Amino acid sequence: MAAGAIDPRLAAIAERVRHVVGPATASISAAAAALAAAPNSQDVADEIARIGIAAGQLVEMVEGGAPALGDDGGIEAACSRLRHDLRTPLVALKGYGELVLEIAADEHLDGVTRELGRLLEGVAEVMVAIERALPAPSRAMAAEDHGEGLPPLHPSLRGRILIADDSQANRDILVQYLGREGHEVAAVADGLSALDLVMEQPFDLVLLDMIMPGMNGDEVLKAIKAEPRLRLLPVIMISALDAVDRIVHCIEAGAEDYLPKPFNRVLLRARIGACLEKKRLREIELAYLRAVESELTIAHEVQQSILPKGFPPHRALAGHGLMVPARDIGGDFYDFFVLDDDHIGIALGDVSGKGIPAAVYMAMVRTQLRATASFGLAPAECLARLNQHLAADNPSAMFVSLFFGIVDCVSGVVTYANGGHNPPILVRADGTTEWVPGTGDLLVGVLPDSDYHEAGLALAPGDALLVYSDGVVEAVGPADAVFGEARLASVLSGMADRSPAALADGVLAVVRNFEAGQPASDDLTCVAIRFLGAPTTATANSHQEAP
Amino acid sequence: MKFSTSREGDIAVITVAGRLSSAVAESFQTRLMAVLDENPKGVVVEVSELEFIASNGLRALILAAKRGHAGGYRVHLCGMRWQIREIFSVSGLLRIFPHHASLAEGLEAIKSPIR
Repeated sequence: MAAGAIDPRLAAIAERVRHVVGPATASISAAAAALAAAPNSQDVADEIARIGIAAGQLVEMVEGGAPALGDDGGIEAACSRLRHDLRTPLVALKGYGELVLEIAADEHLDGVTRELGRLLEGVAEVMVAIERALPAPSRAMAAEDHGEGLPPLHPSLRGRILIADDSQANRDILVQYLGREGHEVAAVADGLSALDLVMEQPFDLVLLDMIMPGMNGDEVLKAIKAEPRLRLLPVIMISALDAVDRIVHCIEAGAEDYLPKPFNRVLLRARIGACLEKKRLREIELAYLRAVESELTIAHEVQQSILPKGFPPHRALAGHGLMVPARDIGGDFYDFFVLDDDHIGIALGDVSGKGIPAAVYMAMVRTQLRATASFGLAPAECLARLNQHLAADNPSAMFVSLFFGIVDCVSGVVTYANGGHNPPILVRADGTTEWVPGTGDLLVGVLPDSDYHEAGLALAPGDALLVYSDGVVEAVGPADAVFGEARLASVLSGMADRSPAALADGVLAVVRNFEAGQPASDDLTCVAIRFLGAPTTATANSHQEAP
Repeated sequence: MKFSTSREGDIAVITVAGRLSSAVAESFQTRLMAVLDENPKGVVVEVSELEFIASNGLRALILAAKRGHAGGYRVHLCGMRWQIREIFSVSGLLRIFPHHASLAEGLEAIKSPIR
């Protein structure tokens, strides 16, 4: 086809537009003229002038002959472009029209109000007519507008909003409208300026036009989302609805929402409100989380600080303890008591549950145990008294499993009571292991008047004892495998010659390795002691080399 | 965790299976208490498919036993696997909960007036 010749199909479209849209356009034109003539005030003079210009542009387009066939060919593309071009003056007419309508109502400019009514009716008619003449792929944008009489925005939903749109009319409308809603508004005409501005000033929300010179809205969006500092800044895309694919990409790239053109004010208000509300809640949530985290960090330090700093120094007994909570704070604890020159008490407890409730209960149990144990009572009596205190008023049935032993540092005999705690394990100097028999007694705090019994265990020089909590034997590895007692025994048997600190640390390391990076399911506590015996036999380890 | 309930006359039968971990213990407790709210004459907990019970799960059962004590009935456990039995044994809780090899035996024990 020769250049300049008009494709007959395009000519037909132009004719249809003239025929279908023309009459409604004429009524807009008349209303705009009457509006310009009506007595008005200085406040709306500019806007009325712009309405006149937009009405002129619309008439020119509708009457102005056939659309050009673009490089991309296709009748569909030409129609789509024409639809888009026609919408530009309509957006301006609708936006400015509604703006002036609000001011005119406030200032009782009755003539203006009447003519605007006709004008906006004409705009609605033209929109319907365009849909008839040039059916859009989607009809969802035939949006109705019921923006009048909206209640004022709650102050917490007002924010600093940046608008980036290359259309002067769109910017004016959004700035005026959002300003009237109580938002603080800044507007720029291209993507690069938008990016510069969000980098240097704080905003609560950004409205980005999809198509802008220099840098398109979707590119600005990607740049904003790539900047860690701005990642949470909500962005709403402004777009014609026929750009559904691009909108989808933007939402996938992190846009909060989109606004179709022409603006529907109810929708605009709702989406902006929802965005600001979401941002506000997210900020409250973040602040709350930060506060909780910082409190938990402090609580963790406090909890670690109430555990003994080190094992009481003694020439015949070495020891070491560690407690690693599954979360910041936990319900396990251990304690050491120097009862006299040759007696050291060792306690290890595991409170029911985890986290804060367990930690609070743990602190109470540990304090009461200290108060009871320092009297020098026998272990069973100590547990019985502690149980009386804890069970007396315990509506939520909290409890603690507790091992308490007193080591005679001269004889190596450990006298112990066990209130429902896992059996400790004895690691003989030669690497053999034995489970320390339980006393069959109940968890501490469950039932008042529970009996506790004592048992004895003789440590030979070089023997070690490991007391531990569930976090060791109930540790879960990949494929739900459980660490278990047998594994603990075999691990310890290979560590028989290590110091108590190396034993405790070694058990922790083996358990963590077993868990293979999965989060720990429970608090993990270990106390290891080694009986060294009288000074002359303190080096007992050295004379039993491996065969 | 799987949890289901049924009735054998006045006796509430609860079946709990899988892993009663710390994460689900609260939900277990809520559902257990809801059963007790119906004032049964006895409670049987069938645990033959229970693989693990965390301390908070034990706590819920202890609460149930305490409520049962006040209401004049006991909470019976039936069909414990050895791992579960070990947990109850170490914690000394076997003396609080009457336990039976099977659900049938548990129900029989509750129904027969002499234990």
